[in-house]
Amino acid sequence: MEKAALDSLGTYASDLLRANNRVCQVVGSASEADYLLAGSAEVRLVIKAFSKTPYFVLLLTKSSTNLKLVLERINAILVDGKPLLPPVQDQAVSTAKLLLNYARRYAPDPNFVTLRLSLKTGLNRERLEKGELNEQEVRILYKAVADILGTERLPIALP
Amino acid sequence: MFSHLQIDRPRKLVGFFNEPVIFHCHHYNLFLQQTIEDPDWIDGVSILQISAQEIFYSLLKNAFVTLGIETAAERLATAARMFSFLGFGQLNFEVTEGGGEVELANSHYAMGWLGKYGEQVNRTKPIDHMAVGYVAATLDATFAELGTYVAEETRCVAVTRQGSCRIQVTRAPVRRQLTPSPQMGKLIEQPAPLPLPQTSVNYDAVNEALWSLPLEGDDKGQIRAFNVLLTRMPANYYNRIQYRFLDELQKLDPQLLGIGQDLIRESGHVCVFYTFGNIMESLEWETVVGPMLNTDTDWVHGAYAVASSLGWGRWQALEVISNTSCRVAIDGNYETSYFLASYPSADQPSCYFAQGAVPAIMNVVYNGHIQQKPVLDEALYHRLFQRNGLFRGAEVKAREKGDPWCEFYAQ
Repeated sequence: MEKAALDSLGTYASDLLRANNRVCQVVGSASEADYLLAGSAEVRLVIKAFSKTPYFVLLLTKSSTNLKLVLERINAILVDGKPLLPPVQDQAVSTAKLLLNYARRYAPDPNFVTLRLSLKTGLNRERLEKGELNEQEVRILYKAVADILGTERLPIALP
Repeated sequence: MFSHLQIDRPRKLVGFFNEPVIFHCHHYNLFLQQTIEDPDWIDGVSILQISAQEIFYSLLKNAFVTLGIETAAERLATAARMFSFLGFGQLNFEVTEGGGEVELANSHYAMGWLGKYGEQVNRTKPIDHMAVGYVAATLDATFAELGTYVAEETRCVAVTRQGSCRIQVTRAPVRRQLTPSPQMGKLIEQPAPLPLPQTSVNYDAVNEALWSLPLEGDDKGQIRAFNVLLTRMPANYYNRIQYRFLDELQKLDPQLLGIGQDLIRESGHVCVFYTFGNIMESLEWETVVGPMLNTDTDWVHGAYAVASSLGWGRWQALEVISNTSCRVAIDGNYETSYFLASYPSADQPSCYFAQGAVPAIMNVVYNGHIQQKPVLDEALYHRLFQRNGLFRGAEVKAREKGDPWCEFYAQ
């Protein structure tokens, strides 16, 4: 399958999950949304969200595939995959704060990473901790965090 | 090489060809270097490399004169032996008077970095700045004068994770004016009459036992002891990089000076946590200090007795209140001896390493519960900072400000 088609599939699956969550709210279900099934006579789409995250598992199978095996596989992915999920980019939290939190989680010497970043970037420590940085300063911070971790890219989008 | 160490018992200093030498571990070396390398707006790498070139030039020049070594081949071989003896790794010089290439195997900084951080992060830039300075200093002292050569690390194991490091050395187009080491610095004339501590720990006996330990580089040029990688470094290398770095901060962005000082204090704290923690869990501690320990405060005294065996000067706890506070005198601290030989005076107490190290000993004993022999790992270290009751320190008397000795308080 082409990457573009996969991307579309992911987007539509996300829409389905969102719609299902609303269905659950309307019918007053307090429990977590269940597996979602979609597809055609030939192919089947099985979708299940990681609880309390925006991430989900999507499996595309032939419709003749044993559904019990598919669900078992998805369950295993849910259990094994949860600790590996990247941090969620919360729109309510500034990018600067996300970068700082990411550094505190993954950089060595986490108790001192804020001091290191302040010194490395020349940015005032209090402003750094409050996450109140302008766009150019956020870019400087991004580069500093990436540099400390020895990587070029971080799983956090710049504004 | 071991026989050339000169122990100054009254001042509790160790000299090596007229340079004060001190033990520190890879945790300290890496954290201090990282602090100086970190700011993109300061040329920290040059501070590290040039300082090494200056200090090691003085050491090597003195060694060649004292030992009567005159041929280039003998000088290069001696420099390589000394490098290994001090715990920095192994150097193999393939050089002439015009320059050349040097292989660095088992580098202290590269191996230490891989051991401490290698599983967590990648490194993209070479790490052996001290060795680069050492190589340039070796050629300066062998063929010419200080500042004649420049060196550069072209391959680093901390980056490649295989093989050995390579350092290229060439003659500089123009000789640079560099500043030699102040050597032993401004020493105290005689030990201060400090009150005898109330403890069953015999500081002098601990010193003698530790001074006799054969701590020198093994066949890989490494000093593996107490679960850390040790180096016996010229104290003035640490002093020079520390104070030059802070001078640069003061010049370029004084608002960040406090952060630089805090990070240097932390290098002292992390050093003591791992090195002293591991020493206090070792057989040597059990054998030498263990029989003197009756109370928990004796553990603190024992640690300060060890501190004064490492070439750091005469450390003595004046008062230790169980799990509450301690007051410690350092008579002839190595930081101050350098500072007073290099600067006219201090506006504020400037023994940053000791400011971090003194409270760290209280933290090891009372927050790390070292008597229970915990596993000294990053998780424990991280937890120390999450709990209440972390000991913090202050330098309340400072020889660099005119007091007769330096005094620290941790609570």
